[in-house]
Amino acid sequence: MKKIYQDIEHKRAEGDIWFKDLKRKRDTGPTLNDHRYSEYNASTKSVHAGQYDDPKTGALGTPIYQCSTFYLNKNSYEAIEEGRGRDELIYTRYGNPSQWSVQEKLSALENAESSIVFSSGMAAISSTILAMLDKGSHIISSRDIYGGTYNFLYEDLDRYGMSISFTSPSNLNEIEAAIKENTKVLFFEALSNPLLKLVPIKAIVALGKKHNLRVIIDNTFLTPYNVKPLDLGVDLVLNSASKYLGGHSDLIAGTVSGSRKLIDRIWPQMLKNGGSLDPHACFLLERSLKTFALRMRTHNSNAMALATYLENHSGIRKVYYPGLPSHEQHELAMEQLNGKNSGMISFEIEGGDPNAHALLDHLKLPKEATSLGGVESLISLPYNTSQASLTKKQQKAIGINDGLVRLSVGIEDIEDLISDFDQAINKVLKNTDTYVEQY
Amino acid sequence: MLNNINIAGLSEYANEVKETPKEAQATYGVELEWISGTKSTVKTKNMVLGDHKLVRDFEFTIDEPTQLLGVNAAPNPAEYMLGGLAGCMAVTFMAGATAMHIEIDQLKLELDGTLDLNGFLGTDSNKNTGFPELKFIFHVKGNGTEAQYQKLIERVSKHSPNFNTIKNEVRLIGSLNS
Repeated sequence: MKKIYQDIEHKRAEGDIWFKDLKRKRDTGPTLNDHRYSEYNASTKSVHAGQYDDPKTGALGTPIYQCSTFYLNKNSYEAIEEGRGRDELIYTRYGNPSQWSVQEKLSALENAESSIVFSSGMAAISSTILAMLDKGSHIISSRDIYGGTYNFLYEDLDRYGMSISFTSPSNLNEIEAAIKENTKVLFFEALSNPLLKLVPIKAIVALGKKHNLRVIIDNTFLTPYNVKPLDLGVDLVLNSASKYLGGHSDLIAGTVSGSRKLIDRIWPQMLKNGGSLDPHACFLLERSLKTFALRMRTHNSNAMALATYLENHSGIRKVYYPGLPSHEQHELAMEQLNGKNSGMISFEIEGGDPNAHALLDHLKLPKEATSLGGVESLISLPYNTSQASLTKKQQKAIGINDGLVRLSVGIEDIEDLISDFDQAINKVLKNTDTYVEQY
Repeated sequence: MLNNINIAGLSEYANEVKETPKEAQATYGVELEWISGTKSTVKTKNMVLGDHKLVRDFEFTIDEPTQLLGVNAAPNPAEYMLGGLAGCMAVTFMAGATAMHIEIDQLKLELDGTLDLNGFLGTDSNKNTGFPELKFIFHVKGNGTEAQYQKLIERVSKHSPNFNTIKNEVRLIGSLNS
């Protein structure tokens, strides 16, 4: 990247300089690498992009730069003075090679110019939204977004002089009707929780362009393996990396990716809010991402097989899965996800919530736990977890029916998963009468 | 950051504009509502910069001194105009000083002019209704030289948008809704 005053130092000294003369342009990064692997496919990017081999020892792989601060030198002082601290190593909250390494891998996977990793998905979401909204701005999102995001938008935005409207994530007329004079951002989840509704990304982007708005997509449920929102014209894409990107249910992190211009605007907000990711967690995330594409392939194919099995089982009332022709947005899924679908399934078991509880008790492999995207299958009931703050009536109004189960399909052998569900569902249905009385 | 101005960001923006000229297009507007007497409220309209909306959620009051039939609740239109001109000149001066690597400890800008209200009152139709001239004085303390400051003031007269709006002829296109 050219320095601001490269080859024009004499003009600067003579005062014969104006803004048009300045040389620094935005570039991808920050980076210590020359190779972005942008021409490669998902698995190759997952393995190779952003890896900083240690030049001193020849150690293969990115070392864990477990330090809070860095030696200052002429370059760092100059960077501080000129306001380009994001490209220099000064202090770990500002930047650290462990962060840059994993950010580069993420940028390669998202087809982004730049990325930032955060200490949680919520740190990524809150910093991004605050950075993108002006005083007095309005944002549109959907009521069935993740509870943490909902709470931030609903409870905190007005403290900053900002406001929010909640609409359907897929009804374009409803979304357009909610746009006001001060609307600045459309914020949606690519696949909603727990009913797995798809956001029509291209149509939302067109709506954003029509009204001069920014579009931000939380892609946690789908990941860049299944859809790359930036390729579809979205301005910024967010992920809770605690889910599929981390993939092992052992770390908490968040990401945002997009143009260098917008990510540079989020960076100072991250500095102020303080949600930077510790180098050790960066190492875990970068290491996990090496098998990202490999894991996603299995999550997707296992979910498709299990969803098909569940739909054909007489004890299952309804299955929500974008890969099934019965999904109300199946056609959009085929176009938007290129047949990759998702690792998430929701379904309703006959007999309602009591049988749903019984099913969780009888399953041997899926772990009864909140969260998703781990190598192990994770299962939970939305009515008493993600949507617990709603009354039964409110839950029904947004489609959370009796007996709804949310399943994050892991990478276990599919034969084992199907056989486990088979034995558990059959047990539940055989014992329905006695079980109902227990709850 | 020198003078707390992000010169790297300014360099990036200038180079972005060279590649994408539309990013230089900044649309502004205000909406004034008369309140009572000589008092009005002005709200800033949203800007559009390039292709994107910037929400400008600000408002201010305008009034006149009691001697000019107001209640002296806020600055008057002439003062806002001079303030907007001075503000624009100051931003241009400070960004230019930063590009020239001059640290500014203090910048004060005085702007003065005399209006002949005969024009407003219509008592003498030969009088110029507006300011016939405005005088400005830059009070600068910093590590620059006299010559550098003079150069910067020249640059301000060339590059400050408000300075040039006042200096040059502006088409004023009116219409009526009633």
